[in-house]
Amino acid sequence: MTSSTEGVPPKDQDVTMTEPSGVSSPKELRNALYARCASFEEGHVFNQDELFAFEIIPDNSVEKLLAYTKQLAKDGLFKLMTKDGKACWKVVKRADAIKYRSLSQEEALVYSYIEGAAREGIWSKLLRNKTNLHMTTMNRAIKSLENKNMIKAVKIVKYPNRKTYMLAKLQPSENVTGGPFYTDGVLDEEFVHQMSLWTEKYIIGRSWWHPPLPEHKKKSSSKMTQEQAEELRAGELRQRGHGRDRSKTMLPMHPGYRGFPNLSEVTKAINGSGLSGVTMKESEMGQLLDILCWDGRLEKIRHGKAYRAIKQVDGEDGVELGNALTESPCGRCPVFDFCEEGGPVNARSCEYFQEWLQF
Amino acid sequence: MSRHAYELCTLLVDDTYGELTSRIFEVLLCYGRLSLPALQHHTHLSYRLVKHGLSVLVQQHLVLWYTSSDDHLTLYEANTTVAYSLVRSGKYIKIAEAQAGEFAGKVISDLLLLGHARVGDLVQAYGVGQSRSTHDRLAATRGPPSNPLSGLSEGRNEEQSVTLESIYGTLCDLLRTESVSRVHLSHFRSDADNRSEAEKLVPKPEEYKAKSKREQDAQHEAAVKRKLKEWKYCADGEEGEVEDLRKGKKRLHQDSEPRRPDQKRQRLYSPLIQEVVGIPGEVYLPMLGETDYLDSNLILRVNHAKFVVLMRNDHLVDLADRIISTSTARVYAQVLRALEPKVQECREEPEDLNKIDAEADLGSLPQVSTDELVGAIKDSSELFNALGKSDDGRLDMAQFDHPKKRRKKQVISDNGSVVDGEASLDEEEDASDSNDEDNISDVSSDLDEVNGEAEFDPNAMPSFSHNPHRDAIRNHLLVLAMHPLSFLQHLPKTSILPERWTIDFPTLMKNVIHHTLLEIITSRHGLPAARLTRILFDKGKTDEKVLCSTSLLAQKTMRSYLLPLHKAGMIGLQEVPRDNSRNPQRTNFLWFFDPERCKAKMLEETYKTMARCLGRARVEGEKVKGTVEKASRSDVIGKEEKFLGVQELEALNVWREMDERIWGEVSRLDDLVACLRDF
Ligand code: SF4
Repeated sequence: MTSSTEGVPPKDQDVTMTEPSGVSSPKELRNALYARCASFEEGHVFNQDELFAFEIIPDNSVEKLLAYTKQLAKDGLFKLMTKDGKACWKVVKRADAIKYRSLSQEEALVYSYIEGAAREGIWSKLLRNKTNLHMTTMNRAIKSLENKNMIKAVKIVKYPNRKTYMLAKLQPSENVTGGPFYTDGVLDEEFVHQMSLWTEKYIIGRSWWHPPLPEHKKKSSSKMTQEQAEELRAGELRQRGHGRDRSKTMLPMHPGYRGFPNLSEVTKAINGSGLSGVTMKESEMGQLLDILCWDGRLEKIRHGKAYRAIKQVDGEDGVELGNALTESPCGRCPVFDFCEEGGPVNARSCEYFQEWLQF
Repeated sequence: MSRHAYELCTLLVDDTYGELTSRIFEVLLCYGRLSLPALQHHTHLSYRLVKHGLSVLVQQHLVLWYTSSDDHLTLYEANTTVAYSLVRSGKYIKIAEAQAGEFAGKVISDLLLLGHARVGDLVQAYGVGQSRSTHDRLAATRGPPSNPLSGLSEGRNEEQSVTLESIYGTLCDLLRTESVSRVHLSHFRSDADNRSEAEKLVPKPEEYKAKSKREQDAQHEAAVKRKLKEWKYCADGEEGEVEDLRKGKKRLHQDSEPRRPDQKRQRLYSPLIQEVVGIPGEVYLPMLGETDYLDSNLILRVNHAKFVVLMRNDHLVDLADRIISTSTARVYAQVLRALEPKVQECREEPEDLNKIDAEADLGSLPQVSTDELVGAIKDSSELFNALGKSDDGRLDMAQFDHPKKRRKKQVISDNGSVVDGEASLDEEEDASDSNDEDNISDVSSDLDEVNGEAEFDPNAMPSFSHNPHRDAIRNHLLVLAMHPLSFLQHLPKTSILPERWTIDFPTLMKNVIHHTLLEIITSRHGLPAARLTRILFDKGKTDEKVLCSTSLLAQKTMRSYLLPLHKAGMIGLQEVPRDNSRNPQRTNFLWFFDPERCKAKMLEETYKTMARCLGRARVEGEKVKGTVEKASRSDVIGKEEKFLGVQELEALNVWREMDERIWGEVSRLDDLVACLRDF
């Protein structure tokens, strides 16, 4: 179950821990029963036998137990549930109970279902079906609950158009938020982009060999000022740490090379980089790596166990992959489908062609 | 083939052989098979003209014909495959030149122009008595990509000192590499007609001795296939002859071997003479005298299938160069060259239909051993520094050994002694998947095994580690084999066979085509579009919501890529109603990517683009028609400066440049067609 400690006092103070002694009023007994149950961990579900085991109920009488629990439930301190057809109870914190008590019947009903949905949240339509309330009644209840700051509307990544509610104090689960790639239920494209860039560079650096630059680069370095040289060195260091850019000169690794990174290595590296505020899980990194593969920037090798960067990617370093279809005028022609010999659009009078030939 | 392809073919025929032929060709494309009278009716041409045009087209293999033995009616049919390959003439000539020398290019160019030719005629044409006019004509139309004008000037400079021997030598070379092949009657018929002919010739299904009807049918089918194959490769009768030629025995004439009367041989070498022209009784010897003479009545044509194989090889090497490295591509080129004689066609039908799904059966593919490759590559110096190593230099090469051997090593190192049972088991298993051809090398490698230099030492590197030349080559081969496109398949050394390599072309080409399709999608629709397409390919039909969360794209962004893709016909959308109401709200929309459909669409577009390019080229040509005609007059050639005005020269140059540009584009488009359709 979920934790709901915020805003709630850790212990319910107004309960006196009195042992049942002699003849006690039903109220005292009820309080004692509640206090005893509240000392258990939160969310514990008590069945009849457990409650009898506290030896608070006089004579272990079933009628009395039912009467007490009924009253407690009415006060909102106990919650009646059923398990395997038998009745059982859960303790409700006193503070919560007060909240409940301040609610109208409908509000309480709505609240209980929203509470039941916990961190997953509940869709308003589903809520209506379950509560069987009239639309306006329910909406009113939801409004008032929201105003009391007891529930909040959340955005579910999968169904952004569904009105979904959950308790105000809860953090939406990952199913709802969609994991680290989403902020407030909206895809954080910039984050995805930055992460994938870093990952890609990291893998490029580890899956291709970048032969040292040819002579002229070195020569020019001697003429550089101190500053420039340092800058270059820092750049080099940075590169080595993070990975590299693609280049046309990079060469394949030896077939026996074992350094192609796998999923857990990439995950470790990106978490070590401090790029992301949250720690990335392997499954999430797997998703990112899949995306890079689908983009045609990485490929899986060794039967999908390791990743390697693809050497040439369209549109990068100004290289467009030579493609006969797209570089011819007709391949990019907006009226391609209408172009017909003898038709209103034809090759004879085509301006796109004229342009292309002139160029 | 579609309307656009037809349009393209007609344009090509028109460009190469003129209006009469293209008109007939167009009608045949339009109406399908036609008899002569029907053809005459549709073309509105006189009987004489139609006959004339048809004879040219048949000579070029552009029109297929078939006379049914039932009603003796001859039907004509356009041959789009050959018509399309007119666009490749330039490439063919270049390939032939690279393979067998400049003269070979000339032979190919002439054969392309003539469709098919008798050896005797060819020899005569190249001989001393060569007439200027034919020569010019031949050279002038070296295939579209070469400029007619430059062709003419080239033609003038060519010297004529071709000896008879070199002519025969070149022809034999070309025959041996299968760049040219003999002509068979079946080459003039369409596939369907060939099949029905073949079915007539082989015994009926009922005549086979088999248990069930199905088996009978299967045997019948196999017999028909065999017959068709025989025809296709002109291998009816004696296969050995062709084999000899292929293995490089130029000199077929062997005195030591007593010859049977050449009744059969005659049929073999002059099928056309017998069946088409019908000269009976004459005896033709395939080879005469001591040198490499070919029977002068042998009829040759260009073997398109083989040239496509060669084009594919070039394409693959280019691809390896681009996505791996230049050095690796060089090694790959060697592999392809070594395998090339064993590959007759790009899309070879599996011999045995049952084998289709048994893709694991790499052993049956043509193979080449490491040693052969090492021998073929002389200079490996640039291969050495072309591979990177990890910083600590640790390498794991054991993974490339035979799995059984790895196991064996394990066993040995554990026990410290050879386990007999293990070894003999290996041998048995290996023997079963070995090829009988490799008998000779078997023995040597077996010996190796017995001596067991490195094999029995678990710590040592493989025995050839002392040979850096070999290692360098092998490493590049392994890089190729590791690549996800599966450029190469590695067959590790076993106890009786040396290490071998093979290429699983169907798989490789499937990957390459997929790669190409996505490249086009990427450059047309952007990276996210490629991402979405790949997801759809990997996951199959996908709901938009799932697609959205898988692709990590915002819904809006995703839609902005999906819709253009859909509009362009690259991906499809399927509606699955959840109930009978067909209400869009109660309908699931599934996106999907069908590579076949996408490929067909792209081919279509490419054909159309090519047709438009050719159309435009013609328009440009017409603009300067007068000048070009003037410039190609025999008295003007070479003295252009003198006869042509400044403006004319300028226009001519501009036109030439444009023409070259357009043709260059067309040839690149053809590469795409080849990749998507033929490889
Ligand atoms: S010829 Fe011109 S109008 Fe026709 S498809 Fe090509 S570019 Fe477009």
